[in-house]
This record gives sequence, C-alpha cells and structure tokens, in this order.
Amino acid sequence: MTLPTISQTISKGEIKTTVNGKGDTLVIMNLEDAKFILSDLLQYEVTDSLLNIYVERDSLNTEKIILKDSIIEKLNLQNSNCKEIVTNLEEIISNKDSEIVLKDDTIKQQKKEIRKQKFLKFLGLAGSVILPILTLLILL
Amino acid sequence: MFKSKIDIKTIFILVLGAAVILLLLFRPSKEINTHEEEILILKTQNKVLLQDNDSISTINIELMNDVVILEEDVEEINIKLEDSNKEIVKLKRKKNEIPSNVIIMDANDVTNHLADYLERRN
Repeated sequence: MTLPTISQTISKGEIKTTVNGKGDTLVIMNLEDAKFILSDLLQYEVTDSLLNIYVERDSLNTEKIILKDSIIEKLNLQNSNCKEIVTNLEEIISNKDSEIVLKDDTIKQQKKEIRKQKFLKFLGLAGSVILPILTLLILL
Repeated sequence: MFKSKIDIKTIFILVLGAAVILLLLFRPSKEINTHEEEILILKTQNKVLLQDNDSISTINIELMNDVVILEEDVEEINIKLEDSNKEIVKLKRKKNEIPSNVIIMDANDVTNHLADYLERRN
C-alpha cells in the first residue's frame, strides 16, 4: 500500500481517531508529526543504549577505583616494608660501627702490649749482656 | 780503689736490686680485653636483622607480583572503557543523525520504522 507523502486535510499538532468500515480504530495525524514522534522514539532508543553503556562504564570505573585502591594499599605496605629494611640496615651499620670501636680498642691494647713487650725484650737482652760484664768487672 | 769499696754485701744488694727490677719489668701483663662476647652479641643481632630483611624482601616481592597482576586487571578495564567510549561516540553520532534521517523519510518509511519500533518493543 502506498501512503501519501503529505497529509492532505489534517494539520500539524492535530490528531484524530476514526473507525473504518472494518471496525478498526485509526489514529490520524500529520506526517510531519509522525516523523517527529518517530524521531523522538528512535532517539530515546539510542539514549537507552547510551544509558546502559554509561551504567556499564560506571561499574567499570568503580571496579578500576577498587583495584587502584588495592594497588595503593599494597604499594604503601611495600613502602613501609622498605622503610623497615632501611631501619634494620641502619641498625646493622650501627652494630658494625660498635664492633669496629671494640676491635679498635683491642688493637690499641695489643699495640700497647706489643710496644711494652718490645721494650722488655730490649731490656732483657741489654741486661743479659750488661749484668755479666758488670759482675765480672766488679769481681775482678 | 774501686775494688776495695765493693764487697760481697754490695754485690748481693746489686743482684737483689736487679732481680727486683727484672721482676717488676717481667711481671705478668694484664689480659687484653678482646670484647669477644660483645662482638658475638652484635654479630648475632646483625644476623637476626639480616634474616628479618630477607623475610621482608620476600614479602615485598610477593606484593610486587600482586601489584603487577592488579595493574594488568586495570589495563583490561582501561581497554573495556576505551571500547565503551568508542561505542558512546558512535551512539551519539547515530542519535544526532536520527532527525536528519527521519526528515527525509516518506510516509512508507515512517510507517515501517514505527512498526519496527513496536516490534522491537514487544
């Protein structure tokens, strides 16, 4: 069935209903109005699809935020662990320093003792030479 | 003259004096403190600290692996978001084109589209 391109009798914004001979109720309107309604309907349909995508995006963004929060939490934990490692290493360095101080003290004592022993060795050697000679000189 | 002054008593005194001096010089030296116990304690502490650090490093490696997995998940979401962005642009363009497409329709097209719409709706 071919429909007329332009409605002949009904004006824009006007809608009429009529019942034809077969008993069907017909809604009559201007073609431009029908186009207007069709355009709105199609746009609403697309808007519905858009809404669904926006809802999906919202859910994806929420998921992303949760994941990012989780990443931040883990990185914070890692950071605090690294700080703990640094603290431990500083303590190790401090312990090593103390160890060095103690060993330095031991070395100092040992050096002193070595110097003393060298002096005594010298005196012992000198005494072992001088005393017999002196004794001999005195006795003779 | 020298000989006459030194008698056996003097020699005895000199020998005794020398012995006293030698005894003083060769007296046992005080023991050197090597701080072995303190050093051992410090070394034990360091060992424990190093073990702690190893444990923490292991935990950090696990955390890093978790972060990598999470970042991959985020990347997947980003791809989906990018796709949805493209879809939104496409739909917006389609929505903007609707009025101009409808305006050039004839009565048949309008009727068919309305019928299609009603069919989709049902």
